[in-house]
Amino acid sequence: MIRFITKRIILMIPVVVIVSILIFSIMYFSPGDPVEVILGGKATDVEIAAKRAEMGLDEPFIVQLGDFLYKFFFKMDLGRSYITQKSVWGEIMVRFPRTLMFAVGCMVLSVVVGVPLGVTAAVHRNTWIDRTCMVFALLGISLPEFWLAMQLVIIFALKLGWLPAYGIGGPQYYVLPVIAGSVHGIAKQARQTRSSMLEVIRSDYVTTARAKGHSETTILYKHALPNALIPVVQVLGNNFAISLGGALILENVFSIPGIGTYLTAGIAARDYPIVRGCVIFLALVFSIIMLLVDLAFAFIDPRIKAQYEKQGAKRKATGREINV
Amino acid sequence: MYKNGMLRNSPSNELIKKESQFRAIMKRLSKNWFAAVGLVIIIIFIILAILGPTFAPYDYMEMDISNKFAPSSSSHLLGTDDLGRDIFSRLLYGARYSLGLGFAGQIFQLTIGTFLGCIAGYYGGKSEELIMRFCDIIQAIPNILLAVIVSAALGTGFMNTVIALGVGHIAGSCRIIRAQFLPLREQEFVEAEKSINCSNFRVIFRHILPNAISPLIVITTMGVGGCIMSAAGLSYLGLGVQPPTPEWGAMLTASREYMRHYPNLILYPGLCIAIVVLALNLLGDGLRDALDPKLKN
Repeated sequence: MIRFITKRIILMIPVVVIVSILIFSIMYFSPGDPVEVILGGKATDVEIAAKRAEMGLDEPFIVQLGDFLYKFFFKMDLGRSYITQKSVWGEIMVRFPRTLMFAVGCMVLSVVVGVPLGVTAAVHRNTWIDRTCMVFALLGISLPEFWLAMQLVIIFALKLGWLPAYGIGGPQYYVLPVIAGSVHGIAKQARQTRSSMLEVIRSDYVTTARAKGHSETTILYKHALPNALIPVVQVLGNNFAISLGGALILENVFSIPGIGTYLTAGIAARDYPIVRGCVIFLALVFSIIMLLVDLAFAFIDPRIKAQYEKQGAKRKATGREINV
Repeated sequence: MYKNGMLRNSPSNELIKKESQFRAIMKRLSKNWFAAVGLVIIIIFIILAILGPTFAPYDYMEMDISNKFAPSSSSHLLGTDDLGRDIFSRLLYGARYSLGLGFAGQIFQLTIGTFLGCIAGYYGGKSEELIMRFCDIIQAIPNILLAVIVSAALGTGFMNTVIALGVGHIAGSCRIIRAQFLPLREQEFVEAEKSINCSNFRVIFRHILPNAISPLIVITTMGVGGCIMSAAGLSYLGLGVQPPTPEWGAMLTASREYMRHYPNLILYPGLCIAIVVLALNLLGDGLRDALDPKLKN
């Protein structure tokens, strides 16, 4: 098992490095000159050249890339913002907890609401309860998140005045963003839970549990659900990643000063260190989550754990990698 | 001559078989009430997108400052926006952009993803390794984030937005096609093709691919909806298609300042997106059941 974890972490490193190179290159070769943005339209050519040399932007591409990678991987330094001159890594660390809080909130809500919804639908298969649940789930994945967010703001903040419309502060500031951000997650979770519950619910061991006289809740949540959990955890991981991405738009709707607003402001100002810093950071977090999901599978399902261990042994024997 | 006869025969047999399968799928699909509704809605919207400008009572750019924020009336079916432009006409024109972006984004990703998946699945070895690592990298960046960064790098405009929307989906379809190819390439009919000296190109695209494509149909149908929503999201961030183009997301974004007093300005474009995406999801669900009836039980 430990060998598997180490192997996964080692495999993650080249992905993160190549993502960094990719993002750096995309930003490097994209149109628009940051120096002109900083100095404004009136600067002379001499001034621009001097500024460019001062910022190290006159170096060849490969030197700049090497410098960037070295600083990021060995010094945890993502450079400084062109405009405010603040450290990007420092700023991300200040803002990340807010984004994380939003994403975790979305994930928790999607599990707490989505899983019971899916179980209920599966139990009452082909009845009106099932149909209602699934129609709502289908509606949920069809609504654009930021449009829903705007409607929530109109109703609960502007008309009723129950909750703040934007900004950050106490927990009440997160209520609307989390609801708007988790609707997709709830819907996906409910659909996935329903279909994987349907597979296990007619198994023999469920009949056995019923014959032993367990209560229906015990049967569902202790015997059936754990066996249906793998796809559910998969969706959970995906949802978490999607809410990190969704933060990009929803943070702008609610003016939450998290990574999403930082990134979009960086794009608008052509402040490249901010843009690539945020994207690389989010990609890193995303890869870590995917790793955790894979590991969670092993803890939930002994069969997968055995498979991982067997895979390690097999690879040792043949010396070849098996693609999954 | 014998060889030619064989070749001439095989496609016609295949055609008959394919048609009957297609009919069976359509039959199952038409029995599914939800999917039929979805299909009808999508067809209506596609017709509106193509013929919209002939129905539209006004041009999408036609301003009438003296008549801004007008409520619904007989002359302006859904009222007017902050510049006095007719919202109904703008929605009709917008269908072209929103649906266009959705479909074009999927066609773009499907072309590249399928091609890469075919290469990886058929040839295996080094090329497979390379393509799969490329997929790993694409998938290490969340989709919307990739769309944002590509859109920021390429700039705004229709084609650039199509690329930005499609890029993130490439890895998904590539993986699916590859996974479908792995068992298929070992099958006897492939061996038979090779033995009669079929070119690799023909074996891949004419004989294996049609057998491998069905799981992609469902994903692509739903992906069109995803692209429409992402396109709206990009517009919201000031990327993607720019105002005054009446793309639905851009319309939403342009009127967000007025949402306190004129909430209907952001209600209609959002509803349009929601209806189209819902229809696509209904159709996708129906297609999934129709393509694989085993799954339903």
